[in-house]
Amino acid sequence: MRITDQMMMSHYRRDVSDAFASMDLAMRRAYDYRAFEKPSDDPLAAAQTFQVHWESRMAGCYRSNISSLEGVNTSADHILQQMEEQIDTAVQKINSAVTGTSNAENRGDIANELSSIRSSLLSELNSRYADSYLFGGTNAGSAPFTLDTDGNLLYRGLNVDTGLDKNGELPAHTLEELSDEHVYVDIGLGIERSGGEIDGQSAFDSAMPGIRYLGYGTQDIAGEDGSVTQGVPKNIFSLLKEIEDKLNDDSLSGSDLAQELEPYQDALQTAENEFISQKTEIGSRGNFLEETDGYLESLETSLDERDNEVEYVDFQDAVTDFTMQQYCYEAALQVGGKVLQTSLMDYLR
Amino acid sequence: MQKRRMSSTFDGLFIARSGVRAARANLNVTGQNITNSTTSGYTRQRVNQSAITPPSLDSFYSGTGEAVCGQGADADSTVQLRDAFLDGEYRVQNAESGESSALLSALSPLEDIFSYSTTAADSDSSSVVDVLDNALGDFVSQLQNLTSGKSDAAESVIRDAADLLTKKFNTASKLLETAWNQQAEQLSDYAVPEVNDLLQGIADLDGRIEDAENSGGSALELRDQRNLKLDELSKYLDLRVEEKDVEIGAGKTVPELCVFLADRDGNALLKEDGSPEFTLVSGESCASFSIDTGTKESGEVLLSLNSPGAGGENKDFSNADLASGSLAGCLKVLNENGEYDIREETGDTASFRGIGYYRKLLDTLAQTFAQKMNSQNATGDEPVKPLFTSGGSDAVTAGNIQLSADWTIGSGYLTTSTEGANPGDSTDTSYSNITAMIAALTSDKIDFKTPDGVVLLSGTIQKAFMDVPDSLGRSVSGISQTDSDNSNRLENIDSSRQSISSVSVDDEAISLVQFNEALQASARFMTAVDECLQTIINSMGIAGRG
Repeated sequence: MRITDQMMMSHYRRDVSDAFASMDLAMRRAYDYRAFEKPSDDPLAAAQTFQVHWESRMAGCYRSNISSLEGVNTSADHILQQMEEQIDTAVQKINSAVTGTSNAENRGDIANELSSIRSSLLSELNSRYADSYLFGGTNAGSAPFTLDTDGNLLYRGLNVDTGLDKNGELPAHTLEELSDEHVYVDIGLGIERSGGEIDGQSAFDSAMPGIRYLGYGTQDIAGEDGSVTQGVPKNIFSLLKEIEDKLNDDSLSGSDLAQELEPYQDALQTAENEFISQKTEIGSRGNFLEETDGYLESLETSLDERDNEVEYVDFQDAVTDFTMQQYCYEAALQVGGKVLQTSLMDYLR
Repeated sequence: MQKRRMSSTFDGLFIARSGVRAARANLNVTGQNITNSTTSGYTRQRVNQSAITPPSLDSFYSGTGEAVCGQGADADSTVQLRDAFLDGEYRVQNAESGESSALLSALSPLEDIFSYSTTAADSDSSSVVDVLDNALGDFVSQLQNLTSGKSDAAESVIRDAADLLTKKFNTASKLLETAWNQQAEQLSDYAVPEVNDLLQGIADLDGRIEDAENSGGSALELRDQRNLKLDELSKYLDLRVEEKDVEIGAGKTVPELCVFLADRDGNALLKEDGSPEFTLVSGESCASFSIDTGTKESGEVLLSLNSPGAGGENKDFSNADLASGSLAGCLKVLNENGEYDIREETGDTASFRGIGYYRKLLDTLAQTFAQKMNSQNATGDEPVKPLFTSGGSDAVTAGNIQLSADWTIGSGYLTTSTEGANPGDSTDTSYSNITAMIAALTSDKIDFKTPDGVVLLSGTIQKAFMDVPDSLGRSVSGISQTDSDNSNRLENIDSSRQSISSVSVDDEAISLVQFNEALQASARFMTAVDECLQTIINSMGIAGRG
């Protein structure tokens, strides 16, 4: 091919400009280490980067959710622990009341103690964490447990034994429904919906309706002698109140009292067992949160690494590349200076 | 008796003179080449030199038996070294290149609307930010905070994040509109007038070339200028250039230039009868383009062609009539909307993703987002309370999406739950609606469709947001690759062309030496003839005269 001055000139111009552009890019890389400036520079890396940014931001959200859930959970666990101890004390006191040695005065003392245990249980049931009532289920905005004028325990306005509202009518939501409420929080379990409802497996359920722990409703208990006691409450608070009333009843003593109290003691024992098992469930929730947090923490680290891989170039590579490009550019300039100046004209006399 | 040819006494002098003349003509052309070695569009010239035959070689009086000699050298014309085939190749490729560079320069700036990179001196704070996805992330984070009971004054914080997201939509939509307008302006204020100037310039030059060649002169430099303009024009349109001889009477012809609109391969677009459909230049008359800006509102720009000559037809055509070239590129960017142009029933029309596609895509996203969020803001018993509206009765678009007026005042409009004991009540903290919103944004898979039912993508709203800068990036990257391929090919063709046409100073230096020598030799020959004549006239036949 015949090569002319203009061709050489335009090739040279293009090559120098390419070398300069490469040097410019390498220079920018050497101070910001970015693998690309615009998505079009490397669409695949850009897509990965955006994805990593999103995941890492969400991981941050999940961890922050978990940290406040852990606060709630630890606090609830702590309170339930205290309640368990108090219930335990109450059970022991009641046992000592029915052993024959106690007299009416002792029983009165024990009844008083039961009363004070009940009132402290009540205040613990209305515990708050960061302005939210812990044991209100889906209603954390007002105290869930109150007493009516007769001293019966109400959960969100419903009598825990009868399940009726203050007008004695059946409410829109039964106690059973209220004890099975959910408050789902997305902690990165891949939240999903089916038929508009959140899938329980895909989110963390943070609801702790108080009646789930203390029990609700009533039951009939058959004694060993075949007699049936009807309407024995399942709720620990109500049971303690019933027992307290019986202890205060001076007409009862000795074996009569023991017989009278027996179904209630049985019910109390069952309720306590249920309480403990529900409390254990809170403990395992805590472990689950901790594990998930640990997983998310390592996910964050690996996302950071991934981000570094796709979005940034290696420091050493960037600097080496820049030096190389600078070298190329200077070489191009030097060659141009040598070649373009001379032609045959310079050698003709 | 054999006839003997008598050669003229001064034959040799004529031969010598023709040699000097030819050498000088060559030297002059060499000089012209050297001085124009950097003139753009200049084609190197060469003297058409031939040997002159002996006089009356075939006539009755032709002699034989004596050495017959020609009459010297004839430098009768100057020609250009140029390959019309490569010109055609160059123009076809230039149109391709013009198209891809028009697409690139129109779409590349759009990338900044959807993503930007923060550049700082240290790598920690330098990052690429996806504008919409980032705003969505803020919004989801605030929803998340509410569900874990961490956000104080939760509703107003969520509202601020939602407001910011709508503003990002509004801004992106506005910027796209501006980009469209700028592109239309660029086409109507610069590209089309430039094309018309070029057409006029080519026609004018054609007239001057005809005049010059008609009177027997040379118009090589004018041809260079015309070729340069044709090259420039070929960036805008696909051209078919033809030169045909036109009779001007008395058996004389002059070449006349015709330029037709062509397809991608450089073949003229033909009518049914086989004649060229769109004539741009015919001799001294030329067509002109005009652009219909009245259709701007409808989002379509129409180009019209006013054919040359009196009574020439006006034709409206859209980008479909133009194969490539930067005019076609501009029209594609303005008029084509990718999948939004396709109807599901036909489904096969390939359409380019111009600026309109991204505007409509944002509208689809804004609509879907508003609809999903709004439908969650209800207790289940009462009618839905929309969080996002268009601010009027129109459908929600990216340009008009805003917080509903009811939400901007006070608090309690955000309905956080449908389940639980007191849905909608502020004491209800199940946040079932908020969790549902999070799921709707990040996990529900939706088919995003054009109004004609073509599925754009299936995935979560978050993925769809993220896909905007991604798909634009992929598109720009592809065009950028095509553009650089195109300009490489163009440079290769131009190199081949220059290899033939452009001036090499070394070549010309050699010619200088060569023709200088030739001139000296002819001069030397003349001296020899002169001496010979001297001998014949003055010294012949005087022997013994004393």
